[in-house]
Amino acid sequence: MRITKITTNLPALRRGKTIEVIVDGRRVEAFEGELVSTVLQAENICIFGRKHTTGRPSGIYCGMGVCYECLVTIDGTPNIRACQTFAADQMVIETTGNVKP
Amino acid sequence: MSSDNNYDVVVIGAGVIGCSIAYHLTAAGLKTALLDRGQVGAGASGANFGMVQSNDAELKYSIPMVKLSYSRYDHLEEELGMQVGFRRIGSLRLLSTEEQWKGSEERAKILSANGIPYEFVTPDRIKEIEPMVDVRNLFGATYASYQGQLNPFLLMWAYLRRAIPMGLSLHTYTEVTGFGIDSGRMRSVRTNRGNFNAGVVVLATAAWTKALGKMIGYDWNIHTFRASAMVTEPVYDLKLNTILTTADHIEMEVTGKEDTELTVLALSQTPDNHFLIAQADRPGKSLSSLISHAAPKTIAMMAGRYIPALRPARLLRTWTAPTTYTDDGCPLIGPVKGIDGLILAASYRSAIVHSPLSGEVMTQLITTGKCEIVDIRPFSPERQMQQAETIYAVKSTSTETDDKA
Amino acid sequence: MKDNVELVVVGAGPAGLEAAITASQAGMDVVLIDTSPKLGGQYFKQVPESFQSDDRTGNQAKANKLFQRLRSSTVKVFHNTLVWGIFEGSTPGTWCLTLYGPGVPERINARAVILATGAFDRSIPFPGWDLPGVITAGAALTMIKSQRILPGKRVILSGTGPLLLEAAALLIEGGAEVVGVCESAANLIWRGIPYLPAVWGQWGRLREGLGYIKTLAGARVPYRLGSAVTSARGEDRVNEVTMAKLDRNKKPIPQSEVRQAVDTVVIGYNLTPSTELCRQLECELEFDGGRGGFIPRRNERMETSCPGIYAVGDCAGIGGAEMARIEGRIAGYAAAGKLGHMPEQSVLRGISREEPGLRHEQRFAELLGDLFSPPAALYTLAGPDTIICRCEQVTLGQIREAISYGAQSVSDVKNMVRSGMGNCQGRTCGSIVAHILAVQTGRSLEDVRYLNIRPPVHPVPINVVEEHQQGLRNLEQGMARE
Repeated sequence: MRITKITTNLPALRRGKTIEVIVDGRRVEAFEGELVSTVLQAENICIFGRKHTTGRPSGIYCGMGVCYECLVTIDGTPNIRACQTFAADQMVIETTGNVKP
Repeated sequence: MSSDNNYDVVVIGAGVIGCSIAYHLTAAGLKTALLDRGQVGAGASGANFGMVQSNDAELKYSIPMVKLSYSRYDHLEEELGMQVGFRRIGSLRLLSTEEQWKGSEERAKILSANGIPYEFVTPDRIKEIEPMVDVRNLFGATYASYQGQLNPFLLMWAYLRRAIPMGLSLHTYTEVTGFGIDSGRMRSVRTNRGNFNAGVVVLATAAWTKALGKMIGYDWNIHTFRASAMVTEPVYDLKLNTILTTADHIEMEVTGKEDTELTVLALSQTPDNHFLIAQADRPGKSLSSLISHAAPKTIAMMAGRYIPALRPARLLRTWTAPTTYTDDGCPLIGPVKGIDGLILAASYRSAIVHSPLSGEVMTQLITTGKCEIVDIRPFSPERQMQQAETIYAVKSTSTETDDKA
Repeated sequence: MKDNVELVVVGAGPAGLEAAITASQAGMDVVLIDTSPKLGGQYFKQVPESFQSDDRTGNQAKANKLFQRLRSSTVKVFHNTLVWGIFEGSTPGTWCLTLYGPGVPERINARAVILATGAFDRSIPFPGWDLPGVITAGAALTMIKSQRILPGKRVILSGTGPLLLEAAALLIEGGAEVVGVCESAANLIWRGIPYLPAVWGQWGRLREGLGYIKTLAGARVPYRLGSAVTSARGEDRVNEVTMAKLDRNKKPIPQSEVRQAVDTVVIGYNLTPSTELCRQLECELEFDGGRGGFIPRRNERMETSCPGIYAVGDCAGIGGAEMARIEGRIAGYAAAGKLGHMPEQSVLRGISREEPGLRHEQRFAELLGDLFSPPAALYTLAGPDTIICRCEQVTLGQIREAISYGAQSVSDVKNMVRSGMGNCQGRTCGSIVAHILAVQTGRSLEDVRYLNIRPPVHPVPINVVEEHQQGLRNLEQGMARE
């Protein structure tokens, strides 16, 4: 859920211009400046992929590019960290995660 | 650490040779300690492709030992009760000139005559064996169809897992600082973690053997160099059936013309689909495990050039480890003259194939005073080394054909 | 393109910024490298360029001042760039750094390097910790502050220390329902008394802390000392946790167990230093539990055992932003002195000026380290089926088995069961395996060691290492569509 409140520690903010990305085949609106992980969270997608050895679901864990749990496929390239990648207009995002490249 | 530090034998070096020796000694009832300056497999034993190779055996004296040891792999997993990831696999060495084939012709004759399959194959045959290879500029390849591959760490731990409950005392991160020798007899090994008293000490220490020898006044003729490799993430859309190497090489300076990374391509795909890529060889006495700035690049260049489809694959790790060679290509196995109780088990070429038998050989030698399983006299540490016609070494001077099969 | 410099600073957080500014003011030729598109690191994490923020907080004012000082210096900044390896240079006394980033050289040679790579959240596993919906305190803070997104609707927090409190307060401010905060430490006031002198002068921090407590109180969020979340359950996402009180030995008391329905769990067990580049260089390490574990051994000039390699800020021991800035300046003077830009007298003067502040911060770091160290007993929450190495999906049961075969170090365990061989290269599981090993074998954490790190410190494609010009697009770190 995107935060719209304004508080002491969350000062007034204007998000960037709207862009459109394709998430698992679906057209989704997002804002310039948002990470792919943010866009997925805003769409209530919590499973970014599944571990190919066990099938266990994985998603955001450390939020800073250290744990490699948030892997998604972007524009056909697999194993990209969603929390380290900014969404761009017409970007194709697939939540297949840590998968056979 | 137990307060009782008296042993029958201390084995130094927890690599594929040392672990086998420690296991066999322990199984024979000898109270044994196994030491390593790092973790199990901290040297070359933990830095390789896991190849169980017979095709690069030294040709004059080593073939019987190689063959016998290789045959032990038929039942090893059963004997030790643990999977070591062993599988049969062929190895292909790609040749781009007839010259390169000429360099291997003698080897092919001798190996084949001794029951080790090793033959020349044409580009068409290469394509059948390994569809992934672009054969357009190739003269042919040498093909060793009956080789093996395993996970060297699982091998070492298979030995240890059996030996430790039988009484083997394992001491990792234990560095040898000296030896206690009394009237020409071995008494103890001194380390940064205390003394280990034993009348028999086995050095299964590969690249560190020379430095240990210097501590007690010996200058064994063992050369060292460092070999580097790397591993990728799992790659599922490429399938490699063999262990692939090239005769072609490139070279890149590290600090100058005398210090370079001589790099051939060596490629293997593990059962869980990671690509192992090697091999940059850097001559020199350094035993440091810091990889040079050049080796990752040269290895990646060879990989990219021969298998462009590998370029997007992400590298997870690079590494380098010191390894050895001798002038005559033979290991140093046997007692050291002048110190009763000191035995060498060093500089095995492609130690993995030698691992199973090395333990049996050493145990027989220690318990009976002689080795009858196989003739180890040519490997005596006391021998005068004849420079072999083909050099089993890293090129460190500009001449000679480079026969690294 | 510049590929030979005097000084490279790795990391543009508080420590790196001060180091770069100080060194360049002394006349050094400096390149500052960071993986982010913006300066500030984690501590001064900025909102993205396209988000227009009117941030008048004191913290942002501090950050702006620092950024301004950098921009008016001659420091060259390589953004969106990863230093994937540091090697001995081709000439003695130099270091070769290999880079992965847009429009930067593939390698750069430097005579000195200051590592300021910060820290990341420590992980303590429990059943269900690997379910989607379980995130670190660092993740919660960064997504709320710089992306303005909530991690979920109904949140519980568990862990120890100030970061946990900050995360709770910000979740509440952002509009999440926070059902409680489980703080594993107890007797804070009693144990804090000996450290009162260390608190003196830390008014800003105290004010901040009190502000967070006020937010929690205002929202009636229970802050439970001596308790922890001990397990989580859910199908594709966490939907329930169990929390329990901890006894004197920090073990959960079964009779105190309570279940809570939540959709998000925030875990905050403090930070662990990002020492990968140091360890890849084989800098000598020392063990300091209060400062995050294995840290590089340094002299009073912040130089490691590798000549010309300095380490400052949290990556050399957790100490907070103020200490990071002081250490950054010290290393800046030291590097400038080493390369002949500053006479020794000035270097000594610069360093001695920083000493009182450094000591002050060190005392406060000791206080935090002591009061809020994650209890070792919590490492026993995991069960045999709990995944310990997430990348390779290795369970506690498998790790225990490897240890029973005779593993003596974290490397031994890794070599047997592959824990630490995946994408994260052991960052998440390395210290967990160390704890498991230490407990099972009765040895110390120092003794069981830590994983050996080799280049690359993050996975990089072969064509990057090949330095192949017709490269592939680098999608991460905002390098899309080069």
